[in-house]
Amino acid sequence: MDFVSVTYLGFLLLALIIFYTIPKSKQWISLLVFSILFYLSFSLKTWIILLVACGISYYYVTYAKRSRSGLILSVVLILSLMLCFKLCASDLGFVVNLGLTRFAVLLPVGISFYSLQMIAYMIDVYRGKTKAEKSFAKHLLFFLFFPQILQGPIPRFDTLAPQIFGGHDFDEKNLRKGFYLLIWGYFQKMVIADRCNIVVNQIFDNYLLYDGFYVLLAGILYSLQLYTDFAGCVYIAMGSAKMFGIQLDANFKAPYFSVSIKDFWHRWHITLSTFLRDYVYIPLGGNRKGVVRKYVNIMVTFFVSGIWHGLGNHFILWGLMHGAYQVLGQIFAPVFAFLSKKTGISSERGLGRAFAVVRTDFLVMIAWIVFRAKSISQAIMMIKNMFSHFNPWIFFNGDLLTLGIGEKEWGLLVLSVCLLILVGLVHEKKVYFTSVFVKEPLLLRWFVLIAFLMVILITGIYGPGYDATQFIYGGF
Amino acid sequence: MEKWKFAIRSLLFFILFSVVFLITQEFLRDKWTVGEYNPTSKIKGFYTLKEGDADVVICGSSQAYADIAPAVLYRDYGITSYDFCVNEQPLWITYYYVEEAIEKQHPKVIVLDVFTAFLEDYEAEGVNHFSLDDFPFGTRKLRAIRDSVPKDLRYSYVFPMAKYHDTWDELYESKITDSFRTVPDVNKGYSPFVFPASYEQFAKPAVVQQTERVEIPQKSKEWLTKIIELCKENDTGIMLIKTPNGNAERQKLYNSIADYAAEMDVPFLDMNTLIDGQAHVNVVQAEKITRYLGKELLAHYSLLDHRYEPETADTWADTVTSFERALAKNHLIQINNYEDYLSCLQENGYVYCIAFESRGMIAVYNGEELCYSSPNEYDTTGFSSNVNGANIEAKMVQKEDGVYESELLVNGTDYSLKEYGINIAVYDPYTAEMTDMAAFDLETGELLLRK
Repeated sequence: MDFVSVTYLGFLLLALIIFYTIPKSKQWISLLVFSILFYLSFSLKTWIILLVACGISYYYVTYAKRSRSGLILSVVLILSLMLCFKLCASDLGFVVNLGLTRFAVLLPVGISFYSLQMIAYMIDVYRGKTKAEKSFAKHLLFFLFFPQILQGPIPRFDTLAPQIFGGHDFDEKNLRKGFYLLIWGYFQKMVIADRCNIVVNQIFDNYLLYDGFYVLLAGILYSLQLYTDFAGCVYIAMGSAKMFGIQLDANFKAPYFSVSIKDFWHRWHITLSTFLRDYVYIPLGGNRKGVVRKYVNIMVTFFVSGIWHGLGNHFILWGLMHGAYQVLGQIFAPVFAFLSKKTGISSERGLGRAFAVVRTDFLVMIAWIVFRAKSISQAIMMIKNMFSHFNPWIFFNGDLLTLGIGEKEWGLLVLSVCLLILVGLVHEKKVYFTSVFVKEPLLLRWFVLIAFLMVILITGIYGPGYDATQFIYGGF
Repeated sequence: MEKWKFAIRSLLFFILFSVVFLITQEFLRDKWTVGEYNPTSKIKGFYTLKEGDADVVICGSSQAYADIAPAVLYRDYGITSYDFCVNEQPLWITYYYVEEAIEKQHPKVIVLDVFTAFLEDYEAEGVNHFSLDDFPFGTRKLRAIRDSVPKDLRYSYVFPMAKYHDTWDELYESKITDSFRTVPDVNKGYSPFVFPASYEQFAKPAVVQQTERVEIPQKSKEWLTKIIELCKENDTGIMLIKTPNGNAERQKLYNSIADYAAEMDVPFLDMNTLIDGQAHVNVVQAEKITRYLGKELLAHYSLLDHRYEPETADTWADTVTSFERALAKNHLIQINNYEDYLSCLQENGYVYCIAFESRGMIAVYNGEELCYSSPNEYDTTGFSSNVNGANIEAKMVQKEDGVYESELLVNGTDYSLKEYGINIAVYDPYTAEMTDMAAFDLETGELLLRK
């Protein structure tokens, strides 16, 4: 059951009706039942794998929570499960040669997310920061909570558990705010991300045919696609949870407004960044063991991040690129500070800030090309081709219309991105559209909501797809 | 209390949203209302009939709506009928069309063309849309979708927005204007195909001599049986037919259907072995096929002659006229010499402009009546007036190089072929359409060009 389906909306509605009609003390049971049903809608086999992982973590926190070796064993077991299935789903040469790809269908939905969630939980219990949950059902619900199982955010036990186990009074504002978040998520996913995907696929899948500004365009659109796809799904997750009165952690804070790579990682996939900081970087010594060790720790942390994203050389390179960006940024920080002081250009305000944002986005985009490419050689060739040809006329001579989307769709994409930037700028000022919109008069809200819903339904990328040739009727 | 208030408000919001959604969905949905392949017009037209307007409902695919002309059944036998058929409609959808026909019309006979009995499984996605998109929403439509569409696509037939929303960037006027308009189909579901063709007097020997048989695909046979049982349960006669398509290979299937029909005790009229044809025959051959069917219908069923009922006379007069104009057009476009062409124009009451290009002279006729003739050569003044509903402007124009050229404007568009000979532009005042443009040699009278 995908988020982008009528089935999911019906499922969510039913879950809400039951949630708010049963006693508060039993609400968590309804969440558990619906979460199990949601997960079972994907596959029964992968459900067993999730139960095994839950069993391992439950056994540890219940019976061996003081044992360091028990912790290491549990973490290794959970990581092994995750890595094994991710390995089978990868296209690495030896995996293909050994025929392991046939197990790819068993890759459990959300395994990357719930594995990290379990590791964080077990370590927190070991450290005594978090109390172990005694009930296996509640333990299961913490990992299985359906809005966040697919793509996160990766929650911490202390913030999520009290919310899902405790009862919630009916609050119309939560439902409304949740609904707005849901719609905003669908807009990002269906109107922007999936439209960018058409052009991105065209260029990346035929990269030998494209150079210069085509590659730059593909890089920009992929950056946009990745953000709106991921953030869109997270908004849907946050909106769904909010309707139950549950506040999930924010995962993005306008990441493409970052002025440095360090800033980017404070805004992009925040729950993963904090996980890596708390459970990889700091345990490695963080910045407490000297400058060189600090740089090594940064590189190791981003190496882990690369592997978590996928078992391919290009993912590892992507992680290492971000690590190198950060290390180089810190090495050259005094130089930048000196130049800033001498020229009076500050990345904190005005054009200086705009330049810093563009510079950061460009570096991030180059890394995204590596991330999206099927191999390092493809990525290198694409980046090389981007600089080898100067062909800005493609933006004016109609060549863009050969990339899979028409003139009006390009117009729509530009408008949508403007809206995205506008909302991002407003968020930067700590003004949240859900909070503002919820106070508007009822009729105005309905008008805007229906208009926005229709925009998504009309211009979103979904359904079997229209192809005029399907309707061309010859003689039979 | 707060919950109830919220529930009521949510319900109101949902209703409002649904109204906007349904209207938009209808706007975006493809409609097929022009040309011969126009299932939207045929289906919507069916629902403009009053109960009992059709004693015979013809169901099946385009081979039925191209070959069976209700106008001929009425004109020659007084049988009222309607072609309730859609392009390549599989029998599992036809079943629901038959259900609908029986409920709305209580016909005496269902005539079922078995062309699509060759289908073994789901039809192509677009073809299903032809049959299902204009079918009225209700449990019957939902059952039709269930039986004819793969599970993963069913939602896009229930909510066609999923299929057609992509067309927002190419929205055209008639998509909106045709959205909620239901107009009677003057041809009663029939599509007059007008094209030159020469048919043999009888079916081709290869078809007639085909004695082999192939098994009827299981799924088609199952639904054929269901249709027959449905008609029997409702005391509605059923006649299986195969319109002639000239396909000797497919005749193997029709031979099996003949055996099956005998087994089920229903008449099967296999015109493929009797009359020459093709997938979609022209109006001339359709007239022949329909006459044959009319005789067989009267032989098997007692059907009333409705020709003398004043309440239906007007609408059927239009249907018959429409057919006969198509027939006249089909005759006209097969004529290749000037004299015969001119006789045909006069006999059939066309409005036509003639330009004698080499002499720079113009003539305008309304049937046999001469409206204008150039008083001298190189007539640059020409004629400009309304003739039988058409704004005609006909004159010679001198070009920059000094050469004279004819202009035959009908309702503002120049239809002269500008050949060095006799150029003729023909307008049909009955259908308010251009019928033909032709050019003949001045000396021999032979056809030079036709568009």
